[in-house]
Amino acid sequence: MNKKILNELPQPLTVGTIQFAVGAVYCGLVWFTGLRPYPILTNRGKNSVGKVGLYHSLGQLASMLSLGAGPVSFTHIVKALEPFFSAIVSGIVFKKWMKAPVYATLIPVVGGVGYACLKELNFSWLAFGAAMASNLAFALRAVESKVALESGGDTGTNMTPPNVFGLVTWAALLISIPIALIMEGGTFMDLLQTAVEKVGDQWQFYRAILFSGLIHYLNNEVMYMALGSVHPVTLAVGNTMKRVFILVASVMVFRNPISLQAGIGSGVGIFGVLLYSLAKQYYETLEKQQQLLEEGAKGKKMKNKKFTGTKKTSSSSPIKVVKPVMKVRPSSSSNNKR
Amino acid sequence: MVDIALISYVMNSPSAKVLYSTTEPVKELKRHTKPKVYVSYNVGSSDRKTYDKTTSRIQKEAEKIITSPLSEQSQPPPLSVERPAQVMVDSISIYYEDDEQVPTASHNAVLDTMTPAMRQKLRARRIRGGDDMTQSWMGRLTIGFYFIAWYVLNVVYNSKYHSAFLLSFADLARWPCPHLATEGGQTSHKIFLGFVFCLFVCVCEKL
Repeated sequence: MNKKILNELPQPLTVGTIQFAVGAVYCGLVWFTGLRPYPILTNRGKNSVGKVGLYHSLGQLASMLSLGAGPVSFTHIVKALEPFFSAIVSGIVFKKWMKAPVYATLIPVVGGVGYACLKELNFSWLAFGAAMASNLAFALRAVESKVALESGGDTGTNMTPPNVFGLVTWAALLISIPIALIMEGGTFMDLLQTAVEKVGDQWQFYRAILFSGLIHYLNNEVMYMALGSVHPVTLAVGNTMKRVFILVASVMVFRNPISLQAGIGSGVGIFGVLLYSLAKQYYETLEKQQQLLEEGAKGKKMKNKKFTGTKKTSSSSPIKVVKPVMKVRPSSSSNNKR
Repeated sequence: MVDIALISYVMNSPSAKVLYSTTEPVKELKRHTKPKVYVSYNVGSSDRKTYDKTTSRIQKEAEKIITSPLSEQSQPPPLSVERPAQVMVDSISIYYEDDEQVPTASHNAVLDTMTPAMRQKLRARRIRGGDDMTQSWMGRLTIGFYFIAWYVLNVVYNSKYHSAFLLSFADLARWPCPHLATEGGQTSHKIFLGFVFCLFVCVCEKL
């Protein structure tokens, strides 16, 4: 959420809803014009997209609440914990946990980025709680989205990452509208009028909101494209490192000075990402090698297996695609011989 | 009558090959790896004696039969079992020899040889949480592009440059392109942003 727009128009829910609407209109146009094949959802897909939309809107809402309730740096520090949330949620949902050293490499990532963002130490329980809720919602969003993306035809057709995010945006818009109307509907017009008068040019103001919505949508769409190719924990690490990238960009492009603390924190964070990447790759390769060895051993066992008189239930293949059980009748000629 | 030879024959039949060729291409099939078919079977007999005689021969024959359905072999090898016992086919699996990824059920040609009811029951679901594209350099570059694009858009979203639409143009003085900080410069940056946006959409569509 663009803090500057919120400074002029302190209606975070409504501005957030408008941003969702801009994204929804954009993806609707892309589908309508045929630039991108539109998705068709199954019942399971509708359920999945609805859930992700809920997490998306709740995550945004909680983020905004946290930003409004405390210092921006404090929110960034708490939100840097997202990889831990993602690790736990993905472990529970996928029922597959990474090795402990891989999780351990998340500590320098989170610690480094948190230290880099450390500016003000004003603690606010509301800001903390909202940022933690946002972490949980975004972790759930990433994991559920990954499930939807990897479910093949179960959730629908044309379920590409951009299309899934388009659907999620529509769902989030529908969820946000009533919330925004209830919470801020009464005061929105007055505050809008004030904001327009303050800025001077109303078209410039509307353009800013539209542009903000479009960039917000594209930003998240690209994030979904990345999610389509990586593990949710990797995406969360990337999301945390985004804060370091912003710091680096602010130094390189905007010539903003960077403090020693931010530099050290960023360095530790980058080193942590390197460790995470290496550790993850190492254990994945190791796991794959072990799997191949096991398959080889099973294959040999299978070849030399003696008849036990019972129906065999396990296959030596690592991946079972189908598991039919078919009785094959003996041929008539063999019956005769028998 | 159905036996292993017949299963192999079905898998190697022209109609099955047509099914393989007409199935929608998937990521796994784009690689130069042939899927292997594995038929897990069990041989038994009522008197238990026939088994000893036939099982070794069947195993040998089955090893010949169980080959890739995409191989050049068009005719099934003969199965010369003189006294076959009862043969139970436990499972038919397709896998890639060098990879752990599961092909989706919709692309499983074996399923296509089964009845719709069976297909419905046996539909395999592929849900995995692992990285997929990190195996190749092209995949890594694509992921890198996604991350960089994501970060750049986030910088734009959070930057004061973006806020300049709304606030003071004085902030733009910090942008290392002074012409953009003028009123007249607005046109150039709008054109630039439009160009970037169109480029982005085109790239996304191509990907």
